[in-house]
Amino acid sequence: MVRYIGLRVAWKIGTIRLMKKAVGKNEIDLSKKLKSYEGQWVALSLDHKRVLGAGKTLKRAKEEAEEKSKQYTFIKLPPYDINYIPAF
Amino acid sequence: MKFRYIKIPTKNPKRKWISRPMIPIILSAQKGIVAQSVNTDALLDSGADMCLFNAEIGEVLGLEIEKGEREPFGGIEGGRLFAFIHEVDIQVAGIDKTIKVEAGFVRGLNTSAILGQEGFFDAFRVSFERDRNVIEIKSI
Repeated sequence: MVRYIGLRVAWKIGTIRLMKKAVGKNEIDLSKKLKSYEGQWVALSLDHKRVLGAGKTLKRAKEEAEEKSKQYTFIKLPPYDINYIPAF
Repeated sequence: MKFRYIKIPTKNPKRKWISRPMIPIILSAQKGIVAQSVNTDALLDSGADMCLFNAEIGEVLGLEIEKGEREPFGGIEGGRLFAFIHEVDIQVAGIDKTIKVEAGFVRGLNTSAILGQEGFFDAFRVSFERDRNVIEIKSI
């Protein structure tokens, strides 16, 4: 009985650890992909997997993206040495 | 609808990235009989009173930015900036609901879009699940 309870507890802890590990990877990781685009506009594929265009202006990023695809989404990257707070 | 936090690079060697609650939206504006739209990732900012967008997005939408009503905004550091108010439609990608919002357009904004209380948080139920890196958005 003690062995059974022990196995159940171990299984539960293992499952929780695996779940935590899985959800920890839940983010869309653009940290490497966008490293060289500090302060720029970037046009990404809708799944965020490909950079389709980039530039100092949205117009420039759009022009580059349109040569590759008709569907894209924009992100404006902040300077990487600042932390965001609700201020301007 | 669930969305994942987005990891953005930083220069801090101790913290090589930061995860931000950003969601994909479709922003559109009517210009005559034609509606222009732009897809962008927008930062969910429950501390912002209103939705703010980068003026460059407004220009792609065909808005004449400076013709909007000029309204002051302030942050915690005591500074002040001016936004130009325009009416736009916001749709969260994957959610079949479009909201009409009076939003501010700002030149030189360091981000593309900020979704704030008025117009956005009062139209959607937003749950931040930071421990799971998930944001859940439900239409109210």
